[in-house]
Amino acid sequence: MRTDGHLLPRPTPSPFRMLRRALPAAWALLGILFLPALLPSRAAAAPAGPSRADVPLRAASEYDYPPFAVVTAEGQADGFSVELLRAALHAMGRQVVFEVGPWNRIKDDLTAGRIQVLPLVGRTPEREALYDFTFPYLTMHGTLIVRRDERSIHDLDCLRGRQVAVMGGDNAEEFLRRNRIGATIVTTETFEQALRELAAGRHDAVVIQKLVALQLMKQLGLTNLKPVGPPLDGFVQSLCFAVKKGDSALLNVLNEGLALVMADGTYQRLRVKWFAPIEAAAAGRSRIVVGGDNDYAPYEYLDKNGEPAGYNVDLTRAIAKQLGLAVEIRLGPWSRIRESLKKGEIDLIQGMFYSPERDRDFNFSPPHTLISHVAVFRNGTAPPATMADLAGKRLLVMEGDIMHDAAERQGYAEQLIRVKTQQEALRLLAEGQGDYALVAKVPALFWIRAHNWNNLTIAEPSLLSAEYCYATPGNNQALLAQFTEGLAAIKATGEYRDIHSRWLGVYEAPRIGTADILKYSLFVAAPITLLLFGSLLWSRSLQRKVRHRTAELSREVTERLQKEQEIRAKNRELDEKNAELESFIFTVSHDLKSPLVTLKTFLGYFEQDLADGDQEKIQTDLHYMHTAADKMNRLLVDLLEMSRVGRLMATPERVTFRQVVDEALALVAGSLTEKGIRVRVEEVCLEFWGDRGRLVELWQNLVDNAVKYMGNQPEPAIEIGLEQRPDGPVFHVRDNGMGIEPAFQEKIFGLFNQLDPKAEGSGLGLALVRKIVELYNGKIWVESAGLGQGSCFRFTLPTALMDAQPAASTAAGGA
Amino acid sequence: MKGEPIVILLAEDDPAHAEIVRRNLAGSHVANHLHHVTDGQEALDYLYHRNRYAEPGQAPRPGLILLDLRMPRVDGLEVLKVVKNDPELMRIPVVVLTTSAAESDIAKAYECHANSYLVKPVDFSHFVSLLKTLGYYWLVWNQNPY
Repeated sequence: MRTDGHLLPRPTPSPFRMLRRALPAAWALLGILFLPALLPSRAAAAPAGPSRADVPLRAASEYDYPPFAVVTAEGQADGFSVELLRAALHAMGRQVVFEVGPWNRIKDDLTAGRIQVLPLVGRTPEREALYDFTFPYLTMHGTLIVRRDERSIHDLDCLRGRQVAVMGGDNAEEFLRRNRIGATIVTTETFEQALRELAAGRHDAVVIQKLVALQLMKQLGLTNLKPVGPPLDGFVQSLCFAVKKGDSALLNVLNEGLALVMADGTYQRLRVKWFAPIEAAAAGRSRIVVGGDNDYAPYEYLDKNGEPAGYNVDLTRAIAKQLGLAVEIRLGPWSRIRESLKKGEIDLIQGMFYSPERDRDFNFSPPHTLISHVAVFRNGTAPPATMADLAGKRLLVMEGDIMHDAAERQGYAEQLIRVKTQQEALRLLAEGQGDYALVAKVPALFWIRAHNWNNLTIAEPSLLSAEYCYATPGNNQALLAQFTEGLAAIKATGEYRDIHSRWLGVYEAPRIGTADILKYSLFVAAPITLLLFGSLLWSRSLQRKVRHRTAELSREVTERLQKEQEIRAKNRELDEKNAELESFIFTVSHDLKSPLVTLKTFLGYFEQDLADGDQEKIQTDLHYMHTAADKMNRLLVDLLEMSRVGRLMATPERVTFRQVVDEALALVAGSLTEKGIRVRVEEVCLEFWGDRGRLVELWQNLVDNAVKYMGNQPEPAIEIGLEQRPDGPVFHVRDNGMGIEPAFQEKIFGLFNQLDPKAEGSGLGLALVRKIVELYNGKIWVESAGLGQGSCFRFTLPTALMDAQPAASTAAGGA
Repeated sequence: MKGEPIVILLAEDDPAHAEIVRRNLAGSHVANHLHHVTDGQEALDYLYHRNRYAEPGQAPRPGLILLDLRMPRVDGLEVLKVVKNDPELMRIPVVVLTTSAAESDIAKAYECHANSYLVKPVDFSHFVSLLKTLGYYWLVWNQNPY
């Protein structure tokens, strides 16, 4: 039809539509899609693996974990997981028998090999040691439950400073503690208790698996609670089938079976069967609410008793019966029904015309009916052949109807007479208003016949063929997929044809030829379309899953790489620490033992010399013993000090460069005076933020070191200051003493590495200095032209610096 | 055995320990001459006649080196490596005499071809008897390579 293109521009054709257009290609696609699906089930029928295919597998299920595992009144295992396992094995040509028992027993039964498979096991690293898991068939996300009147909590971040209840020891508690959300966490014995207390006005929220929460709320009748916020990504539980560790033959069968039932719609059917009532209950409803127009006979309308009736109504009821779902059909003015759908008061619309615009907001099932839309005219008026013929005419349309949209798109907005219903449009036309009524063909026939409006005629051919579909809002594809499948099922049983002919048959003139051919081809095309749609849904859900997994994997890989880098860095750090520790042990084994050897040996000599009465030797013995004891004491004190640095740091404080240096100089004032050393300190305006004691210790040790290695310098001098370099200030302590040979300039910073055995001290000073510098992420090095040339120790203290800028001016100061 | 005294080079940074060695070897009735250096650097100077040992005849070739491991500037292990890699010096017996009983030290010393490894005992009589035995073993019983 020429106008078709104008009426329904399809800038973004849905994949479903594109497939329908490419039917021959679709056949090939069907073959490709279904061939692999068929093959494994045949292959599986042959005995595979250790357990023979004709012997039923033994499984066990829990007593009470609704809706996953329940026990029927007859004592039989039932529930989503149980049915899913049965279906997955059935798809592989295998049978299964269930026993029921408490979780603690059946899980041991699996490890002991008394049963072969468990239908419901949450995958955890601990359990992976005992079982092998199929891919997860359901991932449950955690959610926040709050009181219905709660307005201020929308997500985890809103919990800061609030009180959250969880079951002690549950994943939820670990999740909360791990995430440090800043809430007070209260643990309860059970989630039941947590939810009851929340309902009673205690706590601000409960963190829990959403399905468990919905089930418990329904069970306990806690109507004043609601879930809020997005699913908690960090708090998930993956449900799998589990087999005994190493039973890979059965695991393969289960994985394949699971893939098959997910692909063929069984999984969706089971999901809706077990979860939809709970989800509906969560929205405050006990059943799935299906909405429709109250005045669109014979498709949907309220009968004389005010009850929903019509083709759509019967169709919905038949599908619901097929699926085992409880539905409530709510009919009302079309605009109000659409409003209710938006608000979530209605789950599904049973009759909505497909249009690309609507496709953005709704999910559409394949059409259950094609509805011809026609122009109706009063006898004597010329019938229009196409939409173009309506130009300049006054047109009656139902507000919000697809013909309303179509006429507006055609640019006829000025010519429209908008009314509430199709019946009204026809009545006005019959009464002489307007030129044409643009309505659906069958309702027109229905009303013309009902009211006996003999002056009206329906124009042939129809202006527009619209697809009449089930529709859900964007977020409820599961339910739609369910109805799509139910529709296919009632078509297969013939029930669809019965309903069709009961309601619409009378309006379809028994014409032979094109109509029949059309009907026939429709009959053939519809199931194919359905299959295609199903496979499309399947492939789309697979695509989504693949995308999701890919994202997950790449995230995992990135994380793993990061972790590896961290580990490598840690290993390096550890190696360094080990080397340090080794050198420490070396030091202890040598330097601490050394004075001990001295002590003991001279004690021996002392005894001998005492017996000999050799006074001179006795004095020497005592001298060595004193020296050794002192040395030991100093080593112990220094070791202790060394271990304190880095381990014990005082609270950082603000202290100026001048204060630190002055304090350090005061501590070594004695030896400075004794040796007559001149000290110059540069005037520097600089503030530190750090451990005052350690910073003083740093300069003290450097000055101390300079004093110790002054040598025989006739005019000993020490200069303290800093130099501004691009990376920040570099401090220095310079002396004109002995100097250090280049070969030893790194070694001096080692633990107990003294260059001059005759010098005082234990050799710890510079090691301590380096440790303090490194605590502030700094570097220290020494510059010396060699022996007799003096030394200059330079160092940086990046993390001890405040923002203050130094205003350097030199002034001499004596010590 | 030769009549002239054997020169022993003692590399030891702890004066007390050096004193202990001196006292014991002096009382061992073996003619010897003990030369004490206080670190590895000085030991190498002695062996190569450098710096303060530059004058000829000042540093006679030792018949035995007693080597402490942990010393300032150049430590015992470095001295050991140099000595055992020098064809001129490698035949001189080197006895490591240290306080460290660390396995890694013992292993490293032997890897560097130490001829013996002795740990200074903490007990007086043990130390005295060790030094006495050491004197007899290395200075009397052992056949030196020249």
